[in-house]
Amino acid sequence: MNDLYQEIILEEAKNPRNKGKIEDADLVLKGVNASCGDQVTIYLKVDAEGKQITDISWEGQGCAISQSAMSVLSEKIKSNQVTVNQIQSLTLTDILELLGLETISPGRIKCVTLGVSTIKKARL
Amino acid sequence: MSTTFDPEEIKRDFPILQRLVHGQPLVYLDNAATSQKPRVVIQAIVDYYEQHNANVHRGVHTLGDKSTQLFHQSRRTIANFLGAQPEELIIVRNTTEALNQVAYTWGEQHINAGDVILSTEMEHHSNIVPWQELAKRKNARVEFVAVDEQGRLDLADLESKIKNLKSKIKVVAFSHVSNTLGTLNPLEKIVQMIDDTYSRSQRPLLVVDGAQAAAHMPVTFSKLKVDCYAVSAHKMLGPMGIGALLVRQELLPEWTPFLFGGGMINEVSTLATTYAEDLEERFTAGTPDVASLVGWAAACQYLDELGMREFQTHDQELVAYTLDQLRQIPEVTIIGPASDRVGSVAFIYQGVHAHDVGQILDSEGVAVRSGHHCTMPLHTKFNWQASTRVSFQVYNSKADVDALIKALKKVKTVFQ
Repeated sequence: MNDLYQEIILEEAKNPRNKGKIEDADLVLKGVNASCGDQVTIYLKVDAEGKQITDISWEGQGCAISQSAMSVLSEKIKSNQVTVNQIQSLTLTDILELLGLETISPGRIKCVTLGVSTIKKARL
Repeated sequence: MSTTFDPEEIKRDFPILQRLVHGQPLVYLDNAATSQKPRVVIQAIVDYYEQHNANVHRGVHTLGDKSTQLFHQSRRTIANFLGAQPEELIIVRNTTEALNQVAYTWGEQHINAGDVILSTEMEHHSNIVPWQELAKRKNARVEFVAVDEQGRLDLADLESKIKNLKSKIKVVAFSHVSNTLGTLNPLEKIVQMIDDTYSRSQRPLLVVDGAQAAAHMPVTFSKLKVDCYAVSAHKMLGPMGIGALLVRQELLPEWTPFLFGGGMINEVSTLATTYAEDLEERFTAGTPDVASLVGWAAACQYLDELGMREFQTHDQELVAYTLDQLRQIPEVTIIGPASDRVGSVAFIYQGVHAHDVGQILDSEGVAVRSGHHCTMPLHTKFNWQASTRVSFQVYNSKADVDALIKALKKVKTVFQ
């Protein structure tokens, strides 16, 4: 456990990045973990062709793990010129890496993947 | 027999409580979800499979006889523990299945379009969803009695709903003890209110979720004056996968079973089938889980020997102590009533999500439950995203509560 609540997670949870609403978003995606009530809403702007994500923000509520995971995911997408198609190949391991974790207990996997499974709903 | 209730001595009867979690002694405070099992229960199940296993009824051999005898003997022990007749005990897998049993048998026969099923805002999903589905099938509707700010049933709301909807109400379904708030509902008062309003023949079916109550206090079904009472063995030191629906004996003969097949028939031909007159058999289609039944009976005997009254007193002391200790932590907001509370204390730790609280407590060996505890309507009403619940069993002591409080201090350190 002491390995779980590391600096990255605590810092990202306390000061999440890209949090807020994009009023004129092209895509609004909602995800919820029914078993714990954690939720995120992701706002995306895409280019004219609908391929490249040009802006991302999100709103959400939940545990430190789900919220920090969403924070680092949004930052990766924002700073890396990601296309809508590339989102589909993101995995649990990618997010763990962003959080500086090697593994996660089975009970917390859904926390880590809430953001990524929500953003994968993006289809144009 | 010793007169004082000694949880530290009781702990020695539970093999799992001897193990370590993250190098720390296990402090198990998640009993409202499921309890741990004493050695006598585990051994009863092992003995059954090692010595007696055979299918029940009609097997003309030694094992078949022994198994059948154990089956009936266990049924008697369990019924007796709950203050019911063996004929009133329908064996199911758990409380959820018991409540579905009511909806699919009595409900299918008696609910019509426009009828109302009365539930409450504090119910576990198992006492909401079967009714919603029944209402959908029958074009009926479910109404919910409000919960007040203290976490108690709003009896004025119940009274006004009964007055306004009177003859439309066909079922009143509520929990004896709330699994989230710990609230002990005033069952006698509710029954009285119903009896003052309805004649005997018009009285709605009273269905009680007794999962938490039966695990923490003496329950005498024959004195409760309700029609159905649902329980799970695994919350009261018995095995998982077995539970019971208690139904008043007068009602059962007119119930049509909803599970059909072996064991529950009288005579079967290719043209027509009649069902067993024996009520103990009629609602038990298929091979029953005899081993679990035997294990459950062993749990009832174990609890009987400790004394449910003595345990109830001990539980009340633990609840009061926990409330006192938690009140001293500024970040903690306790949810649910300050009195008339049984078996558990739930709280919200300000600024830290319940799952993070639970995980940090686990790192100190303290097992609690985090989430909505299958009471989403209640959490939505009060705008709680999730809560942390500590809940007790016979083996819990004040020292366990002290370990919880100590571990909670670590939450503050991590999330300062």
